[in-house]
Amino acid sequence: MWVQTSTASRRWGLPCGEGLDAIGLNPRNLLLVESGNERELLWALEQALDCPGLLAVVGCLPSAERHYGFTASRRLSLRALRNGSRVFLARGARIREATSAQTRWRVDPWPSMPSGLVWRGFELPGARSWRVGLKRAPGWTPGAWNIEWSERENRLRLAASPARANPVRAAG
Amino acid sequence: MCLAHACWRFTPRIAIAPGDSLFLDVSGSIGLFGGESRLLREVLAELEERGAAARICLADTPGAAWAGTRAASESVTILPPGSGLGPMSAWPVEALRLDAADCGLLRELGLDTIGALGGMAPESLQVRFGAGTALRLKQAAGRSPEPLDYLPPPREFKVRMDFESPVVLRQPIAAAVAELAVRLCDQLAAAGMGSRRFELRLHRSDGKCLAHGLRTARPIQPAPQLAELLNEKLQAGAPGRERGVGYDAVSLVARDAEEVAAEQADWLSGASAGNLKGDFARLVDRLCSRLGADAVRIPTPQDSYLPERRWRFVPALDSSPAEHRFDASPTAMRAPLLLLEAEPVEAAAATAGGPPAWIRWRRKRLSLRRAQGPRRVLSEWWRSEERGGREYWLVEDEQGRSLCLYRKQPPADAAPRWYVQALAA
Repeated sequence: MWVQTSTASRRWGLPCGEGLDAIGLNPRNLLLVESGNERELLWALEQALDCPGLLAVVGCLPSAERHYGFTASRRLSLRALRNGSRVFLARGARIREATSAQTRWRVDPWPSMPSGLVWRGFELPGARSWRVGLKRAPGWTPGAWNIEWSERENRLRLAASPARANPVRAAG
Repeated sequence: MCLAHACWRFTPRIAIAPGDSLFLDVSGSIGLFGGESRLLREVLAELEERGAAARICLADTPGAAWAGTRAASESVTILPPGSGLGPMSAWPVEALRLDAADCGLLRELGLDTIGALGGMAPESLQVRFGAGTALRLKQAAGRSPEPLDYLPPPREFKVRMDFESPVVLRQPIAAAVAELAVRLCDQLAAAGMGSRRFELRLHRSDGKCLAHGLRTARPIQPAPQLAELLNEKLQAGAPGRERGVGYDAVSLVARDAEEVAAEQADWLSGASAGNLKGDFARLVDRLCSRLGADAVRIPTPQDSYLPERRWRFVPALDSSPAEHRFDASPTAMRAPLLLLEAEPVEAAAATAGGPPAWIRWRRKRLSLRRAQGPRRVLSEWWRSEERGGREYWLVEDEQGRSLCLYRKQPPADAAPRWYVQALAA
């Protein structure tokens, strides 16, 4: 189940069937919920966490969040713990406020590995890559890794070598 | 069947006839609708609203009306009362509801029109063409009765609670709704019926009536859940906002009650939720009642190669188990986020026919480093808004952001236009 506000839909679009299929998810299993505002989004997330059998609940918070804070995140994580379900929240990149989430990651786009093949003056893109930083997790050391999507193995894997220094800031 | 139920407001006497036809006995209700032609127009409008293109004929007998819908030149026809076979004389014999074999025989003998057939003596008609032909002709002319098999009228499930004095507070109303839900569910269960559409009406003491519609994913509802959904609706609608005006009564109606088997086949059978349909349907119900049925959707594949038409989001309450075989055809784009509308960008092409060197998108300039393409997608020529095809490119800028661009071929030799359609990473 995927929840986002209608403002987010206008800005970032909707999950695309093709793209989901490409990463091995059946689009028919997606339940898309669009809420009018952030408060309803949080309500919908809580409802979803009470429903057993959902693989994961994904919520896209608006970049200017007002209601999501420590209390709201505590409510969500307690529900998730009680029901054994998982919730992923995507937040704007600039927000640093503490929440009670189990783990906190930061995801940035990252240039893909050079493929060395040139076509019409452009190098062909390699596997899609991201820089993933673990910011907070109990019992783990924070760190950052480069990962890429392997089309052949149909999974994410660690990129072979750090392509470049100079990390990039962007909304994840 | 659904269309027949749509016509209940015109007459309680409705029969379903073979050949996608409906007979409506409106002899008593013409006056209520202000005349024959206005009644017919309303019936037509009602059917059109439900997506059915209909032809209508009003006549003395079912046979004549059937003939009129098939053979008359206008889509709405009124045969004057008492006219018998007269207006039908030029119509072909097929309009008489005859077997194909009988029609063939009549045609061979040169009896092409109803008028020609009507000119013969009834006895010789019966002897030469069989009892069926003679009977149909008599029925059309009104010389022989035709009993119709009318549908049983729909049962109305409605419960109502009147308050002794107007109620303003929300709490007693919620309690009344809970009580009504129990009573309505008992009624439905006793009749072996269920309903997916409910209407809650709050009758205000100043004579106004507030109606709240509710749709659910499953026809069977335990009463507490129904009450909870209805109260959710009430909170969203916030009754009692106008101070001082109380409510006299609350009524709850089940619309489109349908018969349900004891073990109801679920709307998502096998599609996604496995054995968790019940919980899942309950979640969908709750989300729909608070956020609206259009806010909760499920992607459904369509026959189209254009990315924006390939998947359509259907309201979860309307979605049926996939009848489409899901084939993962290689399409132009495999990006996870598809923008609602492709956004035009300013672009500078590096080489003719190649991808742009940079684009300006959402007031940001992105220098493209890598590109893959083109993948050509032909536009759908039967849709006139777009001619020519598109060339898709998957591009990556120097920061690693990955986008799906396409170039539209302009009609004349103007510069090609570039659009951003999806975000890949």
